[in-house]
Amino acid sequence: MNFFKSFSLLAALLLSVIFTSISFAKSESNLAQVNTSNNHESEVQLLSFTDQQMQMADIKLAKLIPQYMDKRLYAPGEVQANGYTSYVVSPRVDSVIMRRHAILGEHVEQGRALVTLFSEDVAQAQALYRLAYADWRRAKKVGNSVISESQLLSAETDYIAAYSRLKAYGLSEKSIAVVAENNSSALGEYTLKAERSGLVLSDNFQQGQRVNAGESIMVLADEHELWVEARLAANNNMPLTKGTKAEVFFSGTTTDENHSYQAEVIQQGHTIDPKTRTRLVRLKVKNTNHQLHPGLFVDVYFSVLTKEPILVVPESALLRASDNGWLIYTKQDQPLKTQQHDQTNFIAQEVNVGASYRVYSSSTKQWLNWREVTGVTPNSYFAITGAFFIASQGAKSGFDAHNH
Amino acid sequence: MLTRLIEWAIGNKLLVVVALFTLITSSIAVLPTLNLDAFPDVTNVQVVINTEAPGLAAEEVEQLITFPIEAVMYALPAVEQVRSISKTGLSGITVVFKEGTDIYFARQLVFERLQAAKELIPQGIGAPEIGPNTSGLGQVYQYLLTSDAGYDIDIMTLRSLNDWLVKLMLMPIDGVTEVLSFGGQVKQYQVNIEPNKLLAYELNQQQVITAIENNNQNAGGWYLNRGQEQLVIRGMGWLTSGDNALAQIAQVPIKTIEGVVVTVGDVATVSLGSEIRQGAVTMSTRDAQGTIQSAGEVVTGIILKRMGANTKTTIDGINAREAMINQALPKGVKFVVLYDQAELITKAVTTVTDALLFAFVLIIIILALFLMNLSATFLVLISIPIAIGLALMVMAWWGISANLMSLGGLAVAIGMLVDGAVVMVENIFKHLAFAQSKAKQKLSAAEIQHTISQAAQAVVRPIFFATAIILVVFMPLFSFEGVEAKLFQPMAISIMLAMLSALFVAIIIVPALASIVFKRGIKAKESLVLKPITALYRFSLTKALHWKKTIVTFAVLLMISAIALLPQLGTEFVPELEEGTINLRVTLAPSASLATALSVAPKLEKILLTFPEVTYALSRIGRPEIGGDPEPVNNIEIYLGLKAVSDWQSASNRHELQNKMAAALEQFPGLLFNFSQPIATRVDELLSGVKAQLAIKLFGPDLTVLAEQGQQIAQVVKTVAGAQDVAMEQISGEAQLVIKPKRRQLSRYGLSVADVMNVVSDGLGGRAAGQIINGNERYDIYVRLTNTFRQDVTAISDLRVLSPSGAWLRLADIADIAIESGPPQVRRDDVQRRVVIQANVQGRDMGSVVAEIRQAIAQQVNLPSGYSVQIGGQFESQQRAQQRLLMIVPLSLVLIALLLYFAFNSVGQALLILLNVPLATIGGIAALYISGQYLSVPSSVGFITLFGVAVLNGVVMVESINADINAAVNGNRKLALLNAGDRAVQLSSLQLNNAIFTGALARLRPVLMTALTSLLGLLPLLLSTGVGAEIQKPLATVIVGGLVSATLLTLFVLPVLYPRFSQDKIRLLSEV
Repeated sequence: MNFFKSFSLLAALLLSVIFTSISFAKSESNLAQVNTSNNHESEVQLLSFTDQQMQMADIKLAKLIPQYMDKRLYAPGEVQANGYTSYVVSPRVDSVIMRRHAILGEHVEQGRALVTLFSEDVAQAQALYRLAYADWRRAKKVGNSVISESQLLSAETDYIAAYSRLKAYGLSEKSIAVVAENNSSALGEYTLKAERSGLVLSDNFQQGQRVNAGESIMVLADEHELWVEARLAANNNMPLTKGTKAEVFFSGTTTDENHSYQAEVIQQGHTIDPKTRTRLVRLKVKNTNHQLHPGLFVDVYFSVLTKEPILVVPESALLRASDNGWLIYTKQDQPLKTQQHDQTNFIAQEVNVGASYRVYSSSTKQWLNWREVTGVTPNSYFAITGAFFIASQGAKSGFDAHNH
Repeated sequence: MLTRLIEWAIGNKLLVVVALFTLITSSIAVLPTLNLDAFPDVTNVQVVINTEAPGLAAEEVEQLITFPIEAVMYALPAVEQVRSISKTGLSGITVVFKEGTDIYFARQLVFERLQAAKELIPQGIGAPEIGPNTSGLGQVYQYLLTSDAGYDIDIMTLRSLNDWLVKLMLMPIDGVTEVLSFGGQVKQYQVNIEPNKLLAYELNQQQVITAIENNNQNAGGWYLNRGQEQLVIRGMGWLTSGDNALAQIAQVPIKTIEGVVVTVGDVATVSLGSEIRQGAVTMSTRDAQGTIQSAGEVVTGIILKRMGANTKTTIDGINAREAMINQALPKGVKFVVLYDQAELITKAVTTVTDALLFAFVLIIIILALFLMNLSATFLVLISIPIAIGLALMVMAWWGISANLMSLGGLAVAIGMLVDGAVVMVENIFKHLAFAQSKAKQKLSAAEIQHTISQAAQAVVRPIFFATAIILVVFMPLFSFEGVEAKLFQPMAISIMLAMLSALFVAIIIVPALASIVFKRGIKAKESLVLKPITALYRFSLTKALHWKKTIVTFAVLLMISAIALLPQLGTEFVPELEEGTINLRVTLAPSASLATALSVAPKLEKILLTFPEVTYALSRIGRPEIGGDPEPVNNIEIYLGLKAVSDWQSASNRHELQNKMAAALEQFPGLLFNFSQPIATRVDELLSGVKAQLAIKLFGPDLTVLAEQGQQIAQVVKTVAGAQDVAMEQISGEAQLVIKPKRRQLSRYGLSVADVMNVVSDGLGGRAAGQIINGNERYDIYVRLTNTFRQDVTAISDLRVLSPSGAWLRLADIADIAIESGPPQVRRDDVQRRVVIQANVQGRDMGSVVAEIRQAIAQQVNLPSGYSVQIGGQFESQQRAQQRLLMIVPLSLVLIALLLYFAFNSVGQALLILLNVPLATIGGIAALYISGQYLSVPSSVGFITLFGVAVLNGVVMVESINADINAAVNGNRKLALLNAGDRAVQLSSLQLNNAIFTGALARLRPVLMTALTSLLGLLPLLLSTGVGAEIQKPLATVIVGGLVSATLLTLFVLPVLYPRFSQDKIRLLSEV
């Protein structure tokens, strides 16, 4: 009896203890696999990809060939009329505008009448001229025999002075001649003519308006060639010598080829604007399709070629290393012992990065950033696309699947 | 009392019948209100607080938003945990309350504290909001808005339709708490400023914003009286919508320079565009010809069910609205159902109901074969629907959902439900047959009633005790905590309710109905099945009683072999529930962009659709609008639509298919794939625990120090024997462009840090300048620098900032601009930043590994002040479950023993019956081993149930032998009284053996019947392959295996050991 009693007690106890102690010692299905690799490994490990994987992740190879690169430097700018070829039409004496002969945007040839004005001073000067002209003609006619030499000289001097005064008022020789020859001609009216061929850029006046001497009433300019004044940061030390090429865009877009203009540096200021703290660089630009107009705000991208060929890779081929450095993935030719034929090996190569270069891809219609790299052997093959997935393959065991 | 209850029931049989009908009617009436769910909701009581902080990086979000909110939440009562995650543009705080806290009370508390927290958040950074009131099972429905070919409807239009039409039509449905839009592009009126023009006109972005705001206003001017009328005065200056609005915005004047007006159009381009996106959805399908078609980006909606709402009713409501939504949508746009949890519910419920029906049929067959009487079979059978009906009625009243587990409990219990009725009916039947044969004539109605009453009273005590034992066995399950509690408590409740109902049926309904059904007596037929079995048993038992030692040795050997098998069994916590779908989580490197994820997703979908089982693949990239899971854009979740398993060609089960898919997906490098299922994933998101066994949490203020010290701890932990898969969670890897002001330069030009930060936040990030309101629709007017000037680091470096003195400065001149690696998110626990080092333990006891890790960290890692280490993880919950089981199993045994002692009034016999426990365990272990299943929480619940059921066999058997001994003693006593008047009588060894023999033989029928009904009741669960069957299977396996061994051994071992354990009882019987 005692034996069975103790046996049954023991069995019951044993059972419960064994059963419970082994229950839930571990949970297999619900445990996430904890990874063991760390990021350092990704930088030294050799990563192999089959052709299928390369295709899937769009991994493409390119050769690192030294090349001259175009450094693009941005500066905001404004289109200006070419100051050396434009002409401001203005009265030289206070006048009233009588008639306009040209309108805004009209192309005028040299000598074309632009505006007729009336001026009291001109009328007086014309009157004086007419008198002086008559006096001088009479004096010349009678000659030394009738009048003294000094009187003759005086008459001639008065005539020249009156003539010069009219010239100074902007009257042409022809119109001065008319004053002298035609006594019935109205005095005070005079016409300003185009001193050069060009486009009427502004005509901000109305007929009958009084204008002061020197006030601009019309601007003529040649729009085939305009200036762009770019404002560079004061501390910019890029060598922008005369003849440096640049591209000019307007409408805030740098991708639309229709809005791009080739420009060339012609001058640059050597003082800093005290207000804007910028340095002025003047460029000339051919306004081929007449879309550029003075006053237009534009974006200027100077183009400066590197002095010597350099190695560059697209920004997307550069990945950050765990030590905050940069790396690219280069093809490793040494095959692995166990490697299959269709595999490509990559190794992470730490590089130093230099300047950034923007390259426009006409196929993708996008500007892409390329970066100068050093510390890598030229002519080696690197992953030009898909580097992100190569790096990911190396680091994926460390990914946090439950990432929130 | 029990006997009086029976007498009352038989005496008032008509009243009992009326009461029964009333109960049946009310349960039928209440049943439709029963909350149907697929699985029990294991989500804890939690309130989520989300704050959107447009453009801010994780660290700023944490410092400025998360910390102030988190800090005030700890002051709330019943808070168990406050944890948070801060990511770019989003702060998510989860306040977990103690179990049992009312969710609305919890939300109210959080809401109140949130008002205080709002004061602590700097102005304009973000407004915290309480997340939707939903749970792990909350994503009940997902739909797709599609546009037919030929209609020029883009995804921006579809998204607008979803946001402003479909969502609004779904929100009023009862049970819907939130509809989340996912995918597509949110329309915006974008004002893209050209910074060079701003500079030229000496303007800034703020002036543009103010100008737009000032030109988009409505106003009210109260009333104007006009005669007897009054006119309401309205100023209507809102911008209109569409192309008109674009023109109107462009016309907005900003400034006048020398009489010339500068408008928005002079400095910016105005166009329609998409909001900055944090997520997108793509989809691929197979057309009628089987060609894989990529639908590209699509617009979806996720409907969240309110916590506690009736899933079925909610989904029915949504389905009812479908036609109305389709009617309201423009021509060419359709509302297509993608995921409907009702299907899963139907499948899960079908699994259980199928099992119930199948079991019901099997039980009918068994009863008919053993009882050979239709009326008796009917009497036993009615206990099943009545017990289940009553249990469901109570569940509906208490608001307990009917799901796979609670209904599964009923399926598990179905065999046990009839046990009481079987014993009762069998005894009534036997007594009636005996009385009829004794009287040799037809019994009168009164005699029949009396016989039934006597028979019922004779077995009422064992029935009561047997039910009590089952109830007691399940009681300790209520001490479970966490997920296991939520899974198995509904099951325990439903089983206990059904058992109580079955007890009620057995002791009240059955006797009452028996007195009606058997009022004309019975026709007893000998069972054809029982006859050969009885003969066989008679022969075997005779042999067994002769070879007692052999039998005992054999049983002990079996026991030892079973224990030896134990280590061979694998272990798991809870088997994975099959949802019938696959959810593939793809993780890209943390620095991946949305565009990268968008290029990857269709390729993966294409690979997955090469499997003929897959009907569609829907990729959810990143996160939906606020309220959904805050996933980053490097996370793609691919939902796979699958054909029925029977139509599969590539694989026979989900795991096999997953393995094949994983192999195929490997051709895409650099991605991490994790297969799961939608509900499981969602529950994971909400519980958000660390999945490894060990989680070494390092708390401290500085992320860099945390990373360094974390690495050091990881190295130390790796040296500890038994620690495997040691890894530190990723706390860096997000690529960041960091702009740090150069203070000296700023000072020289009279600029402030705010000037630089405004360029970063408003210029690069953008700012809303009011909204365009058009009916229900609201779209932001978003002012930002045009893309050319912020598309890369060089462009950003070249941005000009105007100083107060008029100087034009490049951003690079006044700030350092560099690409750096930063934390993708900052996680906090207990108001501290933390990093987790995970590890699993293999080949060693968990406790010693933890102790060694503690020691190693203390000795080898020199933590700076302010840093502390805490060791937790899954092992905590495992240990918790383990400790609970260590308490529950012996407690159950003790409780059973106590009940047995009260029933038999003998320690020996209680122990004898308890012997069934090890006997049953043998079969349970063997069944698990043979079926290749693991030892898990459900299998241990199975063991607990098994102990209860197995003990019943013993109770019936021992009770019967006791009765025969009693009869033998009484016979002896009569003889002794005749001879010497001695009251005390000794049984001879032969008499004892005879009594044991006849007693055991007499109870063969009920023992076999109860065992067979319990066993066959579980058979359908064992064979089921339906949705959710996997969680019931280990349970059923253990019980079925255990019942086989327990029954066989009970029939032999118990009679053999009876004399050894029953000496005190025999003495007691002899002395009375």
